[in-house]
Amino acid sequence: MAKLFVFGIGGTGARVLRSFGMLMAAGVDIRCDKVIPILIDPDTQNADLNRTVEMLKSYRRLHDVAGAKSGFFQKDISKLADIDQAGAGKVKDTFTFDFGGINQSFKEFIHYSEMDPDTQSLMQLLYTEDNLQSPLTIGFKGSPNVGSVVLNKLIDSPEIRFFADNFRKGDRIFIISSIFGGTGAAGFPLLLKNLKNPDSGLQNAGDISSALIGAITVKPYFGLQSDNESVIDSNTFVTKTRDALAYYKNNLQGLQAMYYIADNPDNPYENRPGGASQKNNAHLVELLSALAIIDFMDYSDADLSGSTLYHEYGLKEDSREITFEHLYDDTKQKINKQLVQFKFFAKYYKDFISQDKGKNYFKSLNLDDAFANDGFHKELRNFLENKQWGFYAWLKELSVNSRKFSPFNLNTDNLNLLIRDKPIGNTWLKKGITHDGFVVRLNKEEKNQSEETDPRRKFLKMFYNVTEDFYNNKVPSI
Amino acid sequence: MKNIFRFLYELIIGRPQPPMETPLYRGEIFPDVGGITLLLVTFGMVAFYYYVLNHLLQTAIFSHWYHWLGVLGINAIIAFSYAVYYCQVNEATPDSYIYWFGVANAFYSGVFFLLFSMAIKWRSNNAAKTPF
Amino acid sequence: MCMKIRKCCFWIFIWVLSNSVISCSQQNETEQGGEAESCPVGPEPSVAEEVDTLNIIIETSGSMAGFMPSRGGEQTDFQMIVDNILANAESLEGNAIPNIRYWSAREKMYKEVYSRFSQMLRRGLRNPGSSSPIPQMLKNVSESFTGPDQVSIFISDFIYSPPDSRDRDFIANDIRRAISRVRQENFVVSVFASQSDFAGTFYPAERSSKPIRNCCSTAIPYYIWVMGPEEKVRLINREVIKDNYMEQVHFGFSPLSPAFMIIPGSGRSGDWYPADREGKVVRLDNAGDIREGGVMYTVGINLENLPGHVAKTEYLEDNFRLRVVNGEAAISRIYDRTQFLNQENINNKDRRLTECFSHYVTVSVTEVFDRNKNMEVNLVLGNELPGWIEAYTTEADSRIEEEGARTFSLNAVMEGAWRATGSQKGEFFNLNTTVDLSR
Repeated sequence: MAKLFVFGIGGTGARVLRSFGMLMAAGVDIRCDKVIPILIDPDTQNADLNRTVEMLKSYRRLHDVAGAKSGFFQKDISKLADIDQAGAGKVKDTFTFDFGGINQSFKEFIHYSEMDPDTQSLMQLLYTEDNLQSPLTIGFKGSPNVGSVVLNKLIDSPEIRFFADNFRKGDRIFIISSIFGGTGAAGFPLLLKNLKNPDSGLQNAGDISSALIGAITVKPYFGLQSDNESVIDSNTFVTKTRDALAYYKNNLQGLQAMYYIADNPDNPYENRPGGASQKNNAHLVELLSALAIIDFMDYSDADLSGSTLYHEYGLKEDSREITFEHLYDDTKQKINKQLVQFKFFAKYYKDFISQDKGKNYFKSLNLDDAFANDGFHKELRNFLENKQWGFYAWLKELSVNSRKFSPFNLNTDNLNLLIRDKPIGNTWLKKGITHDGFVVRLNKEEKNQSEETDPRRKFLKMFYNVTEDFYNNKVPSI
Repeated sequence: MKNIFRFLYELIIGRPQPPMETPLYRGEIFPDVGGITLLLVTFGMVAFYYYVLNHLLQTAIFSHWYHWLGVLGINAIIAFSYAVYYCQVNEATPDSYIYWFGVANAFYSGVFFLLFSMAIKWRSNNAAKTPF
Repeated sequence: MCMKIRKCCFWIFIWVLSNSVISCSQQNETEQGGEAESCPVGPEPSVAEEVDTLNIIIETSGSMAGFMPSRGGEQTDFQMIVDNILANAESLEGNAIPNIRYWSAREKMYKEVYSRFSQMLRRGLRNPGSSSPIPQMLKNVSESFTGPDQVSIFISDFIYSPPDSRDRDFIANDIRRAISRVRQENFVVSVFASQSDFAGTFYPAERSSKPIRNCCSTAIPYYIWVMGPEEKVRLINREVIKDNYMEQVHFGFSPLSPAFMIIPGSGRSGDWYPADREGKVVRLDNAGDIREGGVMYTVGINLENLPGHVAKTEYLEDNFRLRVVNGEAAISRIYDRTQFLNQENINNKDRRLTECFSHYVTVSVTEVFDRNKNMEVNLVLGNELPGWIEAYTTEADSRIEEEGARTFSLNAVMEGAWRATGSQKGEFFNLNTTVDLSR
């Protein structure tokens, strides 16, 4: 069955995949059986990367329990190593690409000292001294000229070979990169070029080269505080973007769909060139970028058989603070229901469920014991509430970034006021969503799900069905 | 049926006192009080708890064990009162046995309440796991 | 908010429920009145509505003249009482008793008109005749003056002197022969004894002794015999004789079945309880109780229809006996109603019952032989000749003044009558109670 390989290149790739993971957790549908994210970033200390990886690992464990029919966490997101049908075990069991052995400077990487003086002079022309001296372990720090050289080596890595071994006809590829950074800007064209090369020497090179490939290139959407010391200067983002686009215009071949997205930077991020300190708040653009992956999979093979399709994203209404209202119907249809459901679930799980001792469903599922002893619930709580990469943290980050995306009131305990600007009416005639009402619905659902023998799966299904019922019958249309 | 109630009551409170009232207790009071309070009223209260309070009312606030125990207690009070009242109506000779009978009836009302609970709770939406 | 309202509703519901239970109970209490429990009734002895002919026969031989002296002065008790009987009978004449006939019995029966008869009684017996012996007279009365619609009241001193003093021992048989000739169905005899002052010549039965003139300072007994069919005799006894004699004895009456019932809550011990509505069966859950503490129960009996002498506690004490099957039991006490109410701690529920019974017999069961079978305890009241007969009897009446108010060989006379009527196999009644050990 069809798989989707998603290459997330650089910090932006990681952040988009983080949002993608959240959408998957919420149960947003994507038309493929399995998603295999591959995070490419030489900077293994990058906090954004690590947050995404942690999140994806957690997701994976939850999905293992949830299965394909629990609503939440239903889509299979696998590591590359998991799909190894040959069982060769040649790659590290992680979502990331192994750049082992590049803890050296760029100068050393290209064997600068062994070059003849003419070549050295050329090098000095092409690269600044900073470029040459900086260690590769923190990425390419906004220098595509460095990245393009290093990443060209990718094609020889065991991960790519492994990927190629497991590639099957009908699988699709999606590549996420930023155009204004270092790693992404450099890696994307290289990766594409290599994948499209039928003579690359990889297994299944023919299938890979004829595979349907989509990509999103994230144009600048944040600025960085000016810092004379830093090697990255956001003022160069636009220049770099323009240059890169010019390059793409002539040199990107074989893409079936190309997505562009950008935003006006408003509130500059702290300038962190990489490493553990590169930890940027989640941003609406990343969330929307993740939608590009889903959108790409919505197209049938036939739709993608012609010339490259180009997509840009637009808001229905410009605002510095985005809610569901500001999205076009297309987007709303994709994510509203699922996000609202997941939010209700997360809210209830965090703030209400502990009061339900003695309620029917609570006892039926033996939740007291499960909360204390079942790894699933620890994992779930972690996924929702982890301060670094959890769902709440993600929502919080989205809502404080600029532009803000704050579809939910994060500080209310009233379930009826959870959706910003769309309070659920609570009158005598038509009840809103109350804690008690929630319990009643859960109790009922617990009975309806009597055929489900796995209590954890039943737990997820119950919440999915109850929140779905609430969304359909209580929540005003948004 | 008569013999079942007779067995149950005499098991814990012994033969009717004074003995002259034996036919009255065995023939009328035991089966009547047992039938009405232990079977009818208790079943009604259990059904009320599980299917009115915890089903039709569409609320889960009464599903705790202490609500269940509360209804059981009320049922026991009804059982006690009705037993004593019924003895008086039937002009049973005043004796502490009447009150012991009330106590026994209250006790069995609790037992039957539990049994009926076990039997019918599973269909209740909000209290299928009450009291356990 | 909503939850609070629901909780409120809940408690209101509970409150209403409990209140309705309480008010319901109070209402019912007022509806329950004291429903009067009716007394158990035994079959009433049948009493005739009417006696076609009542013969009032007074012996008018010389020995009777002392009862009806022709001297002036006070009337004797005899005169008073017999006149009273006449008055009672006359009051019914034409209604319950269409015909009253008056006879004087001498060597044979002489029909008297009322005025003469009354005159004889009140003014004295001026011309006493010779008399025929008592058996003769009895035979005559029982054969000719009783019948399906005739009852006779025969008043005499019943001093029978057999023709030969050696015949004394045959008195009973003589009497028996005289009466047993009657072929009549349900022929009965009621005897009422009384005594009266006497002014005249007393003729002792002993042929060897002389008549005692100007007798007597002691009272002399006389007897009123009522003979005829059972129901009609009952009517006469009740309406004419009025039954108010201390000494009486009845022969030939059919056995009675007085109403009786085991009293559930009083005069008892042991863990028994009544097993039936009628109160004839005592049930024990555990037969061992009999040995451990003993079982006592009291039977209430209504003896109001019994002849007066029978309903006396002394008589009952002497003649009540138990016939027990499969065990041993004894009568521990016999009470009349007043004694019973005074002595016993009466259960309130039994108070209604105590209205129903005149006497109470407490039976104590002490032993059962076969625990798997029921015990039958029958309370039998023996029909013995009453004790007063002996007190009225003398074997020598020649010194009547010293003997007192006695009659020669009265016991033999009565025994004869008793045997003649084949009286009741020696029992007035037989009350059957059961101790049920089937549990």
